[in-house]
Amino acid sequence: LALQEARTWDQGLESQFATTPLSQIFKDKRVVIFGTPGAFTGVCTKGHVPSYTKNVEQLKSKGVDSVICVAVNDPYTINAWAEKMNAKGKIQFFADFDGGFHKSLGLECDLSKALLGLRSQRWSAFVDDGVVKVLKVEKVPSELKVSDGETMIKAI
Amino acid sequence: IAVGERIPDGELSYFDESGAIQSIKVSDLTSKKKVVIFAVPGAFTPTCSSKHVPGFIDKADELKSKGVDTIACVSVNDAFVMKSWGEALGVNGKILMLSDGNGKFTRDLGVTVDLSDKVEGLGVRSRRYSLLAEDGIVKVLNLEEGGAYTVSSADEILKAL
Repeated sequence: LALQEARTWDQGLESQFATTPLSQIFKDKRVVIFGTPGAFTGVCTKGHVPSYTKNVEQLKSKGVDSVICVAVNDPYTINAWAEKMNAKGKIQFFADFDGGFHKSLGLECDLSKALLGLRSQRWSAFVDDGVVKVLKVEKVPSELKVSDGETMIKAI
Repeated sequence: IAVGERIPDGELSYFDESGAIQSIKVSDLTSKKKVVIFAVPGAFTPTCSSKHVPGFIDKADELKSKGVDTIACVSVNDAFVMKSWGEALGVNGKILMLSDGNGKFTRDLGVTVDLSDKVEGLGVRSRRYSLLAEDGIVKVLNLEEGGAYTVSSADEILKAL
């Protein structure tokens, strides 16, 4: 299982479109990772991502090594989204471009009714050396009640 | 799809000027009108962003002066992505940015390209093409292999008008 780091096409070409194995992301690291149903959509853009970008220092002061946003979009779309939100240097963005990562976690979500297709739930987790220590999944993807950055700070 | 055939019906989505998401039937889009539809493999990818869409933005007024009612861009991306990409490219209402989110319309046209085994992370998308339809009948079709950019530009459609 792998994810693709958000990047421009040119950056992809340079790296020969390398994927990042999950072990590289999680092994020996304390990682906060959250899943957003769709790049450029409302709650994801206005609520979910900002709740993490403005709390990065607080999370790092709790020993978190990386803060990662993941979505079922291609890496170029996510890259453009991250840049539009001015979030690129603040947290990391990865593309679960074929939804495989979320399926393996049982966190996939059919959002066809919202004209989005197969995406993910809205969720967040704190993962220590690959072991999930905290997992918060919203009841419905349109809500942002338990998977935001402030809640994560308290939960770690 | 080929010249002389009727465009299969389908449902595409987009964000209107008020920021509301809308669905449109392809039959409604093309009925009794002269419509240019061009497709790109992927929003936010190079040729699509730097050549294909800008070419149509540049020629939009000229196309309209030759009787084209609507210029639409289609991609297998969702409507949120199409809206944001259109804004980033400065489309400014000249091109209708349409989402074939589940790829069904693209499949029905027979113009998919499967990039799933390629490393770029794009999956099944649309081949690049441009077409001119009058009252739903294809009059001009410029279809590329995959994402090549040779015959599907706005200039080629202008030549045909």
